[in-house]
Amino acid sequence: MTIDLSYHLAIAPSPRATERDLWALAAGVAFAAVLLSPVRHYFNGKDKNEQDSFPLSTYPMFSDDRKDRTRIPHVAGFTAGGERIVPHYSHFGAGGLNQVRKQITRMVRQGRAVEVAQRYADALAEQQRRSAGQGKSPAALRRRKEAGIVRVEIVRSRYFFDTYFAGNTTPQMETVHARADVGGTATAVSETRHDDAQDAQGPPTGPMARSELGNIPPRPLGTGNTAGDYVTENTIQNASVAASQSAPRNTSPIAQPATEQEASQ
Amino acid sequence: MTGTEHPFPSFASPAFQKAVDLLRPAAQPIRPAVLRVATGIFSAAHNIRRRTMFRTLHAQDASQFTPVGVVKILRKPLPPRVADGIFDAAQAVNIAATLGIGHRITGPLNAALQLWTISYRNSWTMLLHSDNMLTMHQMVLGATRSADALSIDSLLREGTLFPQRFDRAYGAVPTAMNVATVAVYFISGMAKVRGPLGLKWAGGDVLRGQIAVDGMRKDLFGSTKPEAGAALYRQKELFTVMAVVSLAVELGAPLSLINRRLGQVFAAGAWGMHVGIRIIMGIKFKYNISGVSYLPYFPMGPQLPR
Repeated sequence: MTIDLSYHLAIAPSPRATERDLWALAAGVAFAAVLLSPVRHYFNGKDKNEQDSFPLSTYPMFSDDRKDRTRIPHVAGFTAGGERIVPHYSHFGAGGLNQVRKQITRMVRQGRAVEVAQRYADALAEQQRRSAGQGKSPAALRRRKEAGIVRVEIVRSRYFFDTYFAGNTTPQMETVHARADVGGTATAVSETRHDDAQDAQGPPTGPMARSELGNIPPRPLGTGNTAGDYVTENTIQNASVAASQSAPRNTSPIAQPATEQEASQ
Repeated sequence: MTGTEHPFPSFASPAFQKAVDLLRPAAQPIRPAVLRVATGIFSAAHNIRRRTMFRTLHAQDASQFTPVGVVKILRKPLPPRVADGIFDAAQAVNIAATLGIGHRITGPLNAALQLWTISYRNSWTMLLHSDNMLTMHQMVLGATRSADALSIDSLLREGTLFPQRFDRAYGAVPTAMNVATVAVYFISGMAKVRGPLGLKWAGGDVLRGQIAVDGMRKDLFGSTKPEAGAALYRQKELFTVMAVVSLAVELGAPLSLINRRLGQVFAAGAWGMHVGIRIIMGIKFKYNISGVSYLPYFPMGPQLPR
């Protein structure tokens, strides 16, 4: 009696390749080509963010060179005493921090900052009508912290990384787009604030200074910088010089129109 | 193997045979079945836990609707109740496909529903990249013979959960899933080296800037940036090392398809990279950190020798 153990011990050799395998491999190659097809956008000059999709993505994350600074549209809350408190993103909507951030950025770019301010002001008013609670959960701690907010502003703030991570979290420059009292009605605003204690070209520890070229503006377009970088630098430099000579810190009537690229940073 | 197939003489070259043995090894049904069950369970837990978030998302202001992928067939968002219903149906079908109930229907249906629900989730201004691999893996598993073992179907049809036979169709499933994995990492790598800095991206300044921006955004939207990211910000050399490792893993990903050991080294490197991102940036690529995404690099069950 013979017992065929080949299946169980896997000692039989692999079968010879067949036509079916040929077609299967061809289908596999086609499948790989489709999945890899977004790579073409890195060779055809198209914008990787605009070409991003799902599930065929250009995966643009972590690839932008931000140099030493950034501009971030966001919402700032203020207490009656002027203390600045950041309200939680969930006052705007669901989907997580990055989704809310992107939606707010887009609305600011579309000139809809008043809507953002109104939504935050309403949400905070509703929260403040309820008890802040006594618990020690992160949510309860946050509610107690936010209980003192009396005003929100939709701002677009400019920060230098080295300054920020050295502990100075004051924006070097900030444009206010809308303002609303908690429980009140939002209004459009056009103001710019500066922190004159900060160099508009960045701290001496930044890449500009470390390059041994000093705190000079970026190179012109076409030599490694994006249009957004170049416009931002010159715009801010001019605005800050004008503002710092004529206005005290924190108030300037100069409003910087946001280009699409800047706002999307 | 089915006995009716005849060898294809023109392609009987050693190179072709080797390629077929590598990419379509003759394996048992248990191999893709384990992947179907593991991926299905992860997807069920991952999505059902997010049900409330999905429902809130579906009820958003229509002005935020920016359709992507297959959802581009819509010009305006679905009524929230319809979108909620599709989401719930996707979860029910996923459970059926994971259990292997009528997989010839529930498998492809699950693939389509997962693609739709996650595309719809990404159609509200922000495109997230954390669900791409999971969705593509589910699509592969739904469209292939991944339920010939460990399934209700196999139990009813063959009276066992562990059918003992070899077929190249079973060995091809992990390869197809790994192709999807490779595509994700390789394109991510290309995004970095095709930027203005090219290979100088490996210097680490860009990565450091990205981590700085991410931490600041967390601060400015009421969340908290990870302490590790802030503490390590000044360790420039560390970011150089991290950038080099990231590029090596991402651009080297295709090598993971040509050798099983290389594949496992890649899986370990990619998993470590995601753990690092989790610690330093607080970004949770849950599917990757769970390790389920790399299971196809560790195929289960025997295969016939070359």
